[in-house]
Amino acid sequence: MKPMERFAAVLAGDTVDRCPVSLTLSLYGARFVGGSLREYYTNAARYAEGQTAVVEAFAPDILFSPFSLPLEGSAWGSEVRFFDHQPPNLVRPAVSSAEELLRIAPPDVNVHPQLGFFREAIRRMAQAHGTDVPIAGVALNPMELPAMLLGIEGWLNALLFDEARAREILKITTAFCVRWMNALFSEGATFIVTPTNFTNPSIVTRAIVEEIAVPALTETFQQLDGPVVVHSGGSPLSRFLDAFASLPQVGGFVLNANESFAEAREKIGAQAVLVGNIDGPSLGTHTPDAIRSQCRALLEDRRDDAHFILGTSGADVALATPPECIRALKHAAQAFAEEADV
Amino acid sequence: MVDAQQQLVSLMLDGDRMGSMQFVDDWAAIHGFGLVMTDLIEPVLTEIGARWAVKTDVNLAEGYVTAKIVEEVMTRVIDEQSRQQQPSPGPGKGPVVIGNIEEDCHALGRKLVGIFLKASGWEVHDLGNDVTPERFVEVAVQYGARIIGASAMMYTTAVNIRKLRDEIDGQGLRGRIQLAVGGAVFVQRPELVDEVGGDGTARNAILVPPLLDRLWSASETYERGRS
Repeated sequence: MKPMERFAAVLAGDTVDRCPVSLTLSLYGARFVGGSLREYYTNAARYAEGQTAVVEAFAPDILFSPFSLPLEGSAWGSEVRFFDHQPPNLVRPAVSSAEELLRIAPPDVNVHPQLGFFREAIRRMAQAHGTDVPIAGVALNPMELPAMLLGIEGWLNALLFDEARAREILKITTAFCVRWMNALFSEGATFIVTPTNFTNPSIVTRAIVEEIAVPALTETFQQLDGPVVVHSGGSPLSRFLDAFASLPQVGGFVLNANESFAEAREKIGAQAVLVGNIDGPSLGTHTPDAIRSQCRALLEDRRDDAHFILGTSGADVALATPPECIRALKHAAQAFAEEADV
Repeated sequence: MVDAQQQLVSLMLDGDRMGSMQFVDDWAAIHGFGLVMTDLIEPVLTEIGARWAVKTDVNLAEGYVTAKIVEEVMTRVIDEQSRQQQPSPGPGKGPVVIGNIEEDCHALGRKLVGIFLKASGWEVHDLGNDVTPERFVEVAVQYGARIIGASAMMYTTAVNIRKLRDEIDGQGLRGRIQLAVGGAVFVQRPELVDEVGGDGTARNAILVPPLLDRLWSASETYERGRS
């Protein structure tokens, strides 16, 4: 089966030749093309070239568009800093207050050059691989975007102490995210991956999730032209999964490392796809044998789950990760399938 | 007195900022602002810390609300003491140097740590975000700090704390300067504390003052052992 067929089969709960493998190798593509990470994260052709190299080296079942959330925020005026071994990070939010955020104009998704980088990267990836490999368009959702624009403190402050203004902000970010996510679909994204780096149990309260986040996400997702996968982003997500379970258009969830798939399945029901949960950033600190062993345990745990994708969780796989550690996931999936056939 | 502390604990855990401030004002009208920090806030923070120590689901929002209330109370106390021309007692513990490790720019957790440390009487030198190992050690030596607190939110930046460990050791300061590490990634992956060479960690900001009490003692014990 081709990755796209495997992906479609898992969505439908049909039989697959082996469990699909999702590898978050957005950053790792830079290792193949050389040059600086600044160039990699600003030149769409370079980024797409790196992802083609990823396909050639690892043949993953999903490809990722640039997984740099701060870069998305930079289109609104946030300042980012580029590093030598990790994706760009936020150093200064676009605005210093919720009030100020309400005064600035959202970037035009059709003409802003920073957003154009993401769009062109997906367009190029889709042209090169889109018929064979699903392409995940990574995008901030309306609850996450303000954290990039105001900083975590500013957004928490608004949500906790100035709810009326927080809701005004969400109207703006909801409208923007609908335009932005649909723009990514129009370029060839198969689905949207949206993280919950902010909207997770280690940052916000359940009340914020249920009363503020879920309505905003519902309004956003129901206007989208394709499916959404909610990504834990490196923080535990399970405790809020019951609140997210009924979100429209959501086809799957990427769990954080060490979270229980069985517990998650109970909360989200039988249909949504579960993805993970080998920790991506620390993958290279384990031996390939240890990784295969971890994967095997997950595959065994999910043996009867037709809606499961083995994959890395958390942020990107680190640049220094040995290739054999990355290949270990797919080897494990293949070996498990071959054993089942015998 | 204990009843008053319990009432304030409830108000703070409910996130009732206005109610908490009103309660502190009422309490101070009877007992005086000079006792607010020692007789009210410190025991309240100890109680909240004890509750959070056994709770696995404390989130940043709860910590933030508590810190904002504590910060407002501290400001009020300082203002009142200034208005009444009373000398500020000043910090009784420390100094300690805190900052986000090189390449880490997630400031909020560190800011909360600073607030809770100051509320517990620590002299805090906050170096901000993206602090190099050399800068951490330079400032710690300059102020005679026995503890450096390094914060990181993600694995990719947490591993940079290893360089700080090496810098402390390389300057022959191991034992004398204790390395406290913290941030979301350490809560999720406690084994990372050893991986980066930390001497201790706390699950959340409010638990940092007792951690630093222990590390300060460890530093003193180390030096006594050498002399």
